[in-house]
Amino acid sequence: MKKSGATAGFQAAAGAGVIVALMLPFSRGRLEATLVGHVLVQMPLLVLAGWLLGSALAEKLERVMEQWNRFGVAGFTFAIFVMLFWMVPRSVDTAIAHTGYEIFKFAGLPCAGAALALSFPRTIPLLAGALKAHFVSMLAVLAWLYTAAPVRLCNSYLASDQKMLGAGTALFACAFAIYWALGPLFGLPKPQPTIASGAAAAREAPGGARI
Amino acid sequence: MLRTAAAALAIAGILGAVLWQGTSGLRAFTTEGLRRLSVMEQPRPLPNVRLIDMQGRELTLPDELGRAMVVEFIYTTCPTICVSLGESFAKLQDQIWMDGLADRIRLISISFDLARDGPEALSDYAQARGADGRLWIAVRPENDEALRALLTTFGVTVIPDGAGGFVHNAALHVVDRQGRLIAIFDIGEEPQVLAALRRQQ
Repeated sequence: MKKSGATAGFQAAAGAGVIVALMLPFSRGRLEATLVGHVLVQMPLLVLAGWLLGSALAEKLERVMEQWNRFGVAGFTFAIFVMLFWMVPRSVDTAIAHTGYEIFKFAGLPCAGAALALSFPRTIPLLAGALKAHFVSMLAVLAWLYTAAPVRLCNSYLASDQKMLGAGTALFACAFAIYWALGPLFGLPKPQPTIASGAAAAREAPGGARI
Repeated sequence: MLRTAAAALAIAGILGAVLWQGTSGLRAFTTEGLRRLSVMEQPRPLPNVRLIDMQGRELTLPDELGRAMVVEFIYTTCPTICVSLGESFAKLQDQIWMDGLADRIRLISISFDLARDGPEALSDYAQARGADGRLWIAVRPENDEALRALLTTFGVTVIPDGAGGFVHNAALHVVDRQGRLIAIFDIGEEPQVLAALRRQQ
C-alpha cells in the first residue's frame, strides 16, 4: 500500500490546483451566484481538494498523526465542527458579504478535507460507519429543511434557489448512501486494510488506505 | 491516546467557540435572525439621509424625529410581497387613526428602485395602496449613496429576481422617537408593531 512519491506529488498538485482555480474571481463569482453553486459545488470541491492534499501529506505526517490523531478522533472532531459551521445558513450569507468569512471558508474547508483524509485510514470500521451513516442522515435532514422551509434562509439568494439546493442535497445524500452501501453489499470497492491497530501495521501501510 | 484526546478537546473547544460566535450563542442561524436579534439588543440610529416624497418634496429622516415610525422597503412595480406589505401598512394606518395617534406616528414606504420610482410612481403606488399622505407616505432616497446607507443600517439585502423585479427581506421596521431602529417584525405581526408603537407614546 505504500504510495509512490509520484502519486503523492500528483495529489498535492491536483489539490492545490483545485483550490487556486476556485479562488479565481471568475469561478468564485460564477459559483457564488447561486446557492447550488456555492454550497454543492464550491464547498465540496474545497473539501475534496483538501482531501487530496491530506492524502499527499499522509506519509510525511505519519508520526504526528500517530501521536495526536489516534483512530482519527482529533481529525474527525475538526472536520465535523468546520462542516457544522458551514451548514449554518448565516455563514453562507456572510461569506458573500465579509472577506474574513470568505477566507475562513477557503482555509477551513480544505483543512477539513485534509483532516478527513488523514483520519479515515486510521479509524476503526465501527466509527467510520457511524460517521458515514450520520453524514448521510444529516444531508437528508438538510435537504428536507431547504425544500420545505416556508421562508428564505439566506438573504442573498432566491427562494427558488433554496428549493434547488434542497433537491441537490437530497441527490448528494442518495449518492453517498448508495456509494457507501455498495462496498458491504457487493464487495465494491475493495475492502481496505485498517492501520489503526498499531504502529507496526501503520509503518507497513502509511496513509495509503482509501475509503 | 492522551495526546489525541487533548487535541480533540482543544479543537472542539476552539471551533465550538467559533460556532457559538457565528450563531450568536446558537440564537441566530440566519442573517435575518441575526438582524432582528441585534436590533433588539442594540437599537441602531438611522443615517441622516435625504428622501424625496410622492409630491417631489425633500425631507430627511431627522425631520421626522419626535415621531415613532414604521418603515417598509418596497419597489412600486412589485407584484407579490409588497402587496402584502401594503396590506399590512393599511391595517396599521386604520388602527393608528382609530387610536388617535396619527399625528405622532409615521408610516414610511421607502423605495429602493431608484431607476424607476420617481414621485409620480410613488404617488400612484400610495394611491393604489390607500396611503393617505399624512400618516402614511411613500418616499425614495435622494441617490444611490443614501440608499446604500439606509439598506446597510436596516440590514436589508436586495437582489434581482431574474425577471426584472427584486427579492428582499421584507419586514416591518419599528423606529423609536429618537430615530433609532428598535424592532423588526414579520408581515402579519401588526398587533406586535402597534404594541411597540404604543410603548413609544
